[in-house]
Amino acid sequence: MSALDQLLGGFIVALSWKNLGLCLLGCVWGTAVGVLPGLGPMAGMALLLPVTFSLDPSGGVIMLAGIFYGAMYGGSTTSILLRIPGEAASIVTCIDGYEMARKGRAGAALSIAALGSFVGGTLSIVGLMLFAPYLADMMLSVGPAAEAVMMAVALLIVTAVSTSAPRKTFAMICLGLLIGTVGLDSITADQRFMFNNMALADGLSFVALAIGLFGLSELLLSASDKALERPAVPRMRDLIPSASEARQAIGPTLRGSGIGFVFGVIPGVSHIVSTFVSYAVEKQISKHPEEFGKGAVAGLAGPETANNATTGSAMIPLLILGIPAIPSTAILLSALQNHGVQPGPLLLTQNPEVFWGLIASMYIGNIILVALNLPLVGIFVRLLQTPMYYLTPIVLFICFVGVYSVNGSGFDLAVLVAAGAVGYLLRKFDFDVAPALLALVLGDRMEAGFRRALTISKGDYAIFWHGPAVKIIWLLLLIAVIARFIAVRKGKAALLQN
Amino acid sequence: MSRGLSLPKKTGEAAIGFLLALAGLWWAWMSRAFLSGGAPGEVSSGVFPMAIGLLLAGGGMVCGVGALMEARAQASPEEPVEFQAEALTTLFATVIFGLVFTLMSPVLAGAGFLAFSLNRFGGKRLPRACVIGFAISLLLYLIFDKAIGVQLPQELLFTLFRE
Repeated sequence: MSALDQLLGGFIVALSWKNLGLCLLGCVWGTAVGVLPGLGPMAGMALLLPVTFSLDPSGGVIMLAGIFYGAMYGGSTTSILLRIPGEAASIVTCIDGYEMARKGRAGAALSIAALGSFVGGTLSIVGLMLFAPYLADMMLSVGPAAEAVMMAVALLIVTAVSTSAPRKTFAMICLGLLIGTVGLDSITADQRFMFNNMALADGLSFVALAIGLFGLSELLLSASDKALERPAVPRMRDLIPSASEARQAIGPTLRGSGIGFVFGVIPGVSHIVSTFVSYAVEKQISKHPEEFGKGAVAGLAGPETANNATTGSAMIPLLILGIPAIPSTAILLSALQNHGVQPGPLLLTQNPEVFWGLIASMYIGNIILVALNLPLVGIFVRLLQTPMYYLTPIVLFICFVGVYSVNGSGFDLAVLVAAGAVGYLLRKFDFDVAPALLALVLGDRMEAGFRRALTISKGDYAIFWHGPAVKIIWLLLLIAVIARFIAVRKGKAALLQN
Repeated sequence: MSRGLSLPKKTGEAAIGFLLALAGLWWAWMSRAFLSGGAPGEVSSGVFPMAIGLLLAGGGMVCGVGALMEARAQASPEEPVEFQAEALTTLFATVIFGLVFTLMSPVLAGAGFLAFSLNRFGGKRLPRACVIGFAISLLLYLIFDKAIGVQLPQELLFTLFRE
């Protein structure tokens, strides 16, 4: 069957009433959490993760993906209207987006951001569709040593390019891997670190840890926040950009799509870094670099497109290698694994309906978001006025319901509260907890690959640096670190000038 | 709202680093029990956790020592990290919420937490806060329990009504 036939099959899955509804729900919820400062895609996805357990794998992953790219869309709204980034990847949007709004072009800025996000999101899905099958074929020949090295390299890249200090990220990754060793050993059935508590047989609940570290800790961090003033919302007729603004946006939108796509594949904070790089590139090649920081259309269109282009390409390492490139995709991985679906090279042959259904739903979701976001911008902005004394208890109730619904276990609720308190403390001291969650998800497979490889090599550790596949992976680490180092420096330099 | 707690930033970072290092060492020590297991030729189940424990110990030490060195190099006094009273109160209320949610009644837990939050942080009068809290909590319970069919702890209120 050709890719086109399979994509058509995917559209049949995605266009069922149920999946269409789940996609819509994901997009609306994602936009809402993207708009609310603090609650980003990660917390939004973690909160609804337990709901996916009662759905089929396609439906669950379609809804979570909708939250993921919906939050990317939603984050731009508050950046443009209030200069408050709804999520980290929208920081760059604040610079020129807000300046455009101050000049009375808020409507045009929102439209350019939404259409750029649509183009970036759609082109990256096309890239995902084209590259994924070839990469899957290549991956089928990879052995356990290369698999273990690949996981380790992914985590090392996260350490090298993290936004917090590398030493803190490294410690968080080790903490995540360490927590992942709790429970029955998958090979020898040894009861590791269980302290005679059978509730720990499957390890600490991923859902409880994810919701605690992101949802509950976020509530504690924002407990003293006040509701924001409602900004002036542009009228429908103000949403249409002028011909000159549209012309200025075309080039940056296409370049942003390419930059976002390339960066999305690299593990780490790619969606954030891609926006900085796009901004730097646009400023570098602009004929009027002095306009940047004063409401330049290119300074808004490029980064906003790059931000959304990462959502499609971030699915490549997740779906084909089984490696979540960014923390949000770790939640998707967990949802798939809970349904017994293991992302990796065999996903395309063993669960084509999940893979192609997700791709098709992303096309549909991008259209839903453009159709929803622009006319309903006033409603989403009104969410900002919800006082924390209402929001905190309601979100807390949802957190508890979500965690309890998975196993019906009070112990998981204790894990949730403990993870929330620890997450709050760590985040207060700038320890990024996202790498810990990535490591927790990858730990099992990394250990299994490590042990299988050492069994094959009869204990010879040289297996981890001999062989062409392993060498290529180590080389990729080197290239990625150097490239990202240069890119981040250039991006930050351009921003500092503003 | 009243003031919460505050800690010097680098001192706090160092404390967390050393705690992580201790946790790593403890983990590596505990892993010794699993080093001898497994079939001949297989890698035992203690090797990986021991390696990770030692790496965490190293990483934690680097964090702790690094933070202390940065604190010493700073000319000005350390920047404090504030733990707002609202956050600490919310954390304490969350623990009580969790106990009531699991052992007694999700509706009462939600109603109590909402009433507390509306009264303490929102300045609403207690009777009004209780009514609003109960209404929202009941609505949430009905949505999750009846409409979505999510598994929830036994609801004391409904049991009482049935009896």
